[in-house]
This record gives sequence, structure tokens and C-alpha cells, in this order.
Amino acid sequence: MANSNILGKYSPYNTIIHRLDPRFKLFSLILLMVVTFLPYGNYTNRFLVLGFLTIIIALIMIIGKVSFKSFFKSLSSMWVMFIFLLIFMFFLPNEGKYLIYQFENGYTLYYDGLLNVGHVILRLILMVALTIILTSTTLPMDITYALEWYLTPLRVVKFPTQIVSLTISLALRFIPTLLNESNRIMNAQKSRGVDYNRGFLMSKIRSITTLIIPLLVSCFSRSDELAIAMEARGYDPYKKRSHYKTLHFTYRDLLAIIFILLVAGIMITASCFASYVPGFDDFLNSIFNIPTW
Amino acid sequence: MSLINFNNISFIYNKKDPNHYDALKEVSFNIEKGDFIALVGHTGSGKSTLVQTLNGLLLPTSGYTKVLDFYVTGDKEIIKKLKKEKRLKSKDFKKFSNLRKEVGMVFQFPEYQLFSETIIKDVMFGPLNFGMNEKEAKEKAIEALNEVGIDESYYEKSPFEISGGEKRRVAIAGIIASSPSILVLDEPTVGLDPNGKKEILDLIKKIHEKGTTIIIVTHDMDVVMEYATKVAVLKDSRFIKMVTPNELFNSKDLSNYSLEIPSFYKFKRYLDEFGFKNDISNANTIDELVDVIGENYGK
Repeated sequence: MANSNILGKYSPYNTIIHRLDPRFKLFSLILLMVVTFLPYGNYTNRFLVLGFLTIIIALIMIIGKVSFKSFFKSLSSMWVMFIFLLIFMFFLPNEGKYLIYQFENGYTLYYDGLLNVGHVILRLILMVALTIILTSTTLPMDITYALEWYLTPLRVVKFPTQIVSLTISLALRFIPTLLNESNRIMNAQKSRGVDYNRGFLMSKIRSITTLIIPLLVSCFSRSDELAIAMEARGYDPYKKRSHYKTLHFTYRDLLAIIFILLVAGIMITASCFASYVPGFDDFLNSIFNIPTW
Repeated sequence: MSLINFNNISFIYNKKDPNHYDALKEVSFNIEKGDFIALVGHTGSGKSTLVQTLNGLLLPTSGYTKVLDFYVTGDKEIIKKLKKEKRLKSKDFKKFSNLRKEVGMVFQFPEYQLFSETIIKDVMFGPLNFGMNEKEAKEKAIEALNEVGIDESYYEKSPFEISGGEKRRVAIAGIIASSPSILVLDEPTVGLDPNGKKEILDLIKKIHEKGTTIIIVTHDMDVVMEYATKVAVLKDSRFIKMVTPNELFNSKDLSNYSLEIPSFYKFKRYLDEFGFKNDISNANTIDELVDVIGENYGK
């Protein structure tokens, strides 16, 4: 519980993905996420195109030595959502073209529902995979630097980019600290007989309060101390700040950008074709010899 | 039969991870009933990890810790073997509530565990979890609060509005309220003023005199000298030796374990170095030393 991997955890390898510029990694994360959510026409097309993207993302995960175990672990916490999707998109009355079965009272099940659920789930899995790639290959501080860099244009309209980026980096900085802290408190409460793994709803809620309240208390006192320590060292939010680490763009990043743009280009083209070129489905059908859904 | 038996235990944090870390390496020793053990060693020597195996918060990756009749281990081979020999079931290696009732554990800064609306409720929390009814729990709580010197006017106060030292005493009361037969304390005096420190230590001594086995993790050698009956020394995740405080402080290799010499022994060493002629090696308390020095002046 304390080592929850939902947000992903940085793993200290030194692969090519780790060494890429965080600004670029953030950009390609967003680009690839957008691309997964583009429309791709009928079901055959959707799965073909997303399958292509899945292969690319799996490749990146292998190159970046992203732990597949932690990836599946973070997926396992999404199963409730999958069940909801199944209920809403398959079991509740829906419209569809491809009938599975029609009951006598008029209740019908369509293949469309199943395919839609599969499509949404695949998109979500890809999204999680992309975020995990970013978080496990990039230090949180680097992500913040990248964010701050993207926010710089907003300074023109007097947007306090430095304060925002400091807030974000503090929040990120304190995630491991708070995890440690919660681990400590949980150990103390376990020693007093609390069992966090057993029990049903009410006793679960009761045992969680024994963690949440001390955690909040220490959070507040910690933030107070931090604010005082920062002021004591002369922190002024409106002064111009320099950085400990400056980001550099290298030829590696250039190659990576070309690769990602190529992938995104292929996806966008596919999306355009699927939406606007009639007969594209038949064209794919003729290449891969799959029935068109 | 020893009360606690560390049997060749090792513990690895983040096994199978690039940054895994051996916190304990093949530690074996016994603790007898009624001992007051001080666990000493440099930061990161594995003291805290070791005590957390005592009530099943951490399971040794190999070897086992035997506490009373409970076996704590995460080693599959040993579990298999014990199941066969002792007719134990799988749940005996997973459920620790009975063990945790017997082993009270006070962590560093225990005041962080307080959460209830009132002090009395917080102290009752442990006993209630270990299956006592409301009335028994309240009696136990009042007894424990008396013992730590928190009087009745505090019972209905919020644990967040009292001072730091009081908070710590309430937290300790929350542990001893379930009357454990073994009490483990991880640096209980950190961050307290000298008076608060002495109060806590005297309290621990009082609990020890009632027959509770005490294990205390500490960096404070004066505490070791004054209170402990035995000292267990850990260095670089390994168990070095278990001796009496006198033996430890009279030995010459003390600095190898990055331990500080208590002021009393420092003084003795200075006397030796500057050629004090009487034999002071047998004087192990301040009174004895005063007597030896006194003889020199014909007192």
C-alpha cells in the first residue's frame, strides 16, 4: 500500500530514454496521448492503428527498461473502471449494428458494445503506459523544469510561472517523504493492533482514519516549518531565479523527435484517411484480408 | 529457552530492484526474559530493521525470529520446514495480532501516532483492538496514564493541544495499556529536554522492574551505561557481540563501532592516561570511583 505505484516511480537506469531531454519527453507524451484519442473510423481500423501504437510504446518501454511488473500493478487498480465500462457500454441498452443476441422481451446485446469497451480500455492502457514511461525514466525535478520551460511564454501576461513550478516541484518532492511518513505511522498503528488489510467497509474506514489524521497533522507542521526555513534563507517568489541544472538539446533528442513525429504523422494520416476518404476500410481489408467491422 | 531468538536472519530491502539494500546479514543471538537490552550501532547498521522483525512488521528474507511461541519469517523454505515440524498452519505466518499484543513497540517520535479526539480514547485504542471490552480498556488506559504521570484533568483533552513531552508520554501510555510482555523502544528520548528524557527513562525502568523485557534502540551511551543490563552491538548490518555495558565500555575497540564513550568512562581514561597511580579498572560506578580516588588522599 505504501509503495503504491499508481503515479509511477523513477527507476535509476541509464538508458537512452533516460538521457533524453525532459522537455521533449513531456511533449511526446502529450502528442502520443492526443494521437491515441483521435478517431480512426470503423473498428478494424481502430484496432489496427492502436495495435501499431501499442507495439511502438512497448518497444519504448523495453528500451527504457520500464518495469512491466509495476505497469501491470498500476493497471490492476483500474479494474473497477473496466467493470463500469462493461456495464454502461455493453449490458445497458445500446445501439449497434452487429447483433449478438436478441432476447424475447426485446433486450439486445451487440458486438459493438464489446468492441467499444475494448477500444476504450486499450486507449486507457496506452495512456497509463505512456505516463509510466515518463515517470520511470525522468526524475520528478526534471519534469518540473520541463513544465516551467513550457510555461515561460505566459510570463508575458504576468502569469507567475516560477511560483507555479515551485508549487509543483514541492508537491512532487514531498510524495516520497509522505509515503515514508505514512509507512511509519502505519507501522506504529499496526503495532497497536490495526489491521489495514482485513475487515469490511466500516472497519476499513476506521483504520484509514488512524492513518489520515496523523498524516494531515504532520503535513501541516511540515509545511509550516518549510515555509519558515525558506523565508529564513531569503526566498522571494518574485525575484528572478537561476537553475541548478540547465537543460540541453542534443542530436539524440533530434533523432527522437523525428521518430516521434513520424509515428504521430502516420497516426494522424490514418485518422484523416479513415474519416474523410471513402473506401479506405476496403483498402485495408484488401491488404490484410480481414473482414471489415 | 530464550524469550526471543534471532535465528540467522537476513533482510534485504527492495529485493530484485537495481537499488536493493542489505539491512541485516545473518544476525543470530538470544534475549532472555527480564533483560534490559540496549541495541547500539551506527546509523544504518540495521537496528531499526532488526526490532521491526520482532512483531512481524518486517519479515526476514531468510532465517527466522522466534518471539515467545511465534515464528516471524518470510523465508518460504523455513515456513515449509516449520509447518512440518511444529504442525503450524499458513495463517500462523501471516496473522500477527496475538504477537503484537505481546510485543509493544514505541517508534521514534511516537507522538505522530495520536489521532483520537481525546487522550483517554487514544490510549484505549490499543487494548480495544486486542479484544478487550470498553470497561477493561478504560481501566487499562487509566492505569497506563497514571504510570506515565498524566493526571485525570487531561483525559478529555485533545491529544493535539498538549506539549511535546506530554504527547510522547501519552503515546507511550497507548502502548503499555495493552500490557505487553516485551516492550521495544526505538530512540524514545530523541528531541526531549533533559528532564523529559529522565522522566521517560525512569518510566521505562519502572516498567522493567515489573518484569517486562525491554529492548531499547539508542545512540545515547549514558543511557546504556545507566539503565541497560546488556548491550547488543550491530555494525554494517552484522551482529558483533552482546556484552554487559561495563565490558563494552572498558574494551579498547569501542571506536570501531562508531560509539561514543560515556562521560564517566572518558574520565576514567583520562585518569589512566595522565598516570593516576591507583587501580581504577574495577570501579564501574561513580561512587566506586570516588572511593578509589578518595583512598589516594587518605580519606
